[in-house]
Amino acid sequence: MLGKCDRLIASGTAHAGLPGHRKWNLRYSLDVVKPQLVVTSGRYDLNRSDADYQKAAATDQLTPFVPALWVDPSFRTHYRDHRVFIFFRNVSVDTGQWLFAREDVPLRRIELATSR
Amino acid sequence: MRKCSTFTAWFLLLPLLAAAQVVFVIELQDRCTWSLAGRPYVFLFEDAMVSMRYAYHFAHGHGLVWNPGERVQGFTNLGWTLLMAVGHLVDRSHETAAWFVLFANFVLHGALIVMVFALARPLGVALALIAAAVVATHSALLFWGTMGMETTLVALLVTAAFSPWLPIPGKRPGTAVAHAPWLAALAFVVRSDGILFLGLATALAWRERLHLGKGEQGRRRILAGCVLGLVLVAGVLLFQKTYYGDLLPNTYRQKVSGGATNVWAGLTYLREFMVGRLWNAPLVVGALLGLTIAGRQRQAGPLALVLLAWFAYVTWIGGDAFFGSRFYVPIVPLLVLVTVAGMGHLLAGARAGQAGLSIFGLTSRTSAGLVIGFLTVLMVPCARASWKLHFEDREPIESHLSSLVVGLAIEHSGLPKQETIAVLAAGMTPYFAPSY
Repeated sequence: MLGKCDRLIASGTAHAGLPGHRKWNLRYSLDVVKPQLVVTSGRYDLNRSDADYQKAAATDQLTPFVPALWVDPSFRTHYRDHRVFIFFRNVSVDTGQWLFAREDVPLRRIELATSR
Repeated sequence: MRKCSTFTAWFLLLPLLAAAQVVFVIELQDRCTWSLAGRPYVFLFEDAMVSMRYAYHFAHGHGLVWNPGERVQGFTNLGWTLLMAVGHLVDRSHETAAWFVLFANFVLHGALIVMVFALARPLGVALALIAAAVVATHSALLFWGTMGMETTLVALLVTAAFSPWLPIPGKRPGTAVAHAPWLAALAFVVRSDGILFLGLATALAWRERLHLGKGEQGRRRILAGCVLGLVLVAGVLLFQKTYYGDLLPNTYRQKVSGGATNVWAGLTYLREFMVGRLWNAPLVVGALLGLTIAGRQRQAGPLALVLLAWFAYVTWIGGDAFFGSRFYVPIVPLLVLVTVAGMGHLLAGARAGQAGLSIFGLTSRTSAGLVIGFLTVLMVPCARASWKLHFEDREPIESHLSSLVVGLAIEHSGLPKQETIAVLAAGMTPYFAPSY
């Protein structure tokens, strides 16, 4: 999603952010590519309001793509309510990256131990 | 100073080399290995895992691609990616194949220490041991080497390429400069930024050619070296153009085009390198002093140009997103060698009772002692930073383990294999989910 392996995103205009992490195009990534799963680059605080995240997306100078994804209209509509939880031996694993499935993908839980 | 025989000098290096390699192994074991349900996993730094995914697909017959069928060059380290592909041929499992890359860096780290010792040897065994010790324990070299990056190999090639210009007392560049262009070209093959080193090495070698008389064999050797370097680069560019349809890697556009460069971020990165957590100020100050002291030697100018050009380039592109001064690692051994070369000049001058360097009206011997003492004091926080990084903060990076777990989860999610997955943090997660 940050354009390393995608020509269209890589040739786009840069946003604010860390070197090498300044290009993204959520319209293209979510509405054109329509991925079945989205892996975020951080955790989200569910107690924070969307307005807070919107402000962060506009002001964060390091990783604004993290809050920008959370409040993106497509992400909110198609992914945000469909988080996929990872379990290991029936215990939820709190990973630093969160996993979301598109609304039509019936996946809400992955069990690591039994899937081996 | 008593002369030390060649055998004794190399014998003295052995304990240092052994200790350095033990530290290297301890580090990589703590940083890059993990087990889940009794099953071992070996992994590298996030960015290295991007190349590892290309290498995995290459070794499994899908071509040098991120996703089978899509030809986009999402890496900047072609030579290193091919080495990773060899690793996947040796160990077909994507869960443990990274050990090959770590082993390669283990060997390269040792080779770099030996090379630095050999290059500094004409300065005396004590200074050669100091140079080797600084390189052996340098935080950034160790950090990125044990994370599977190509930095150690690039540093090795760059140091070898520019070694003829080291301002060692009584030494001239000579026809050894003929090797500079092709060695720098190899650095370019390993990582594309090496093109800057290639340009400088070719120009400097050509300049040395002008110092040789017509008909001298050295002129022909330098010409051959320059041609070989350019052929290597042309080969890589031709491959990129024909295979990916683009002369430049996609990562170049992603990082440098469309207003993505940021000089201010580059200056911040430089400050971080100098006085940040890893504290490299002594090396930069030492190199500056070294170049000033050895300024009368013809090599000092060209080497200063090389170092300055690299600092300017890294600043222009905005440095790196990550901690650890990765982009400065290729010139670290040169900084060390220039520093000890300056010390060598000082000591030689002081021994001979020459005016050489004199500060505050002191004798050259006292001045030499003051400069070396100053650098030694500066080295204390540097050594402390290295100790802290390597012996106190050695746990695997939490985000890496997290990305690994998410990758494993996706691989075993049961989703159809043709499904598309979008990832913000590239590298680890996609590598451990190779079916998608």
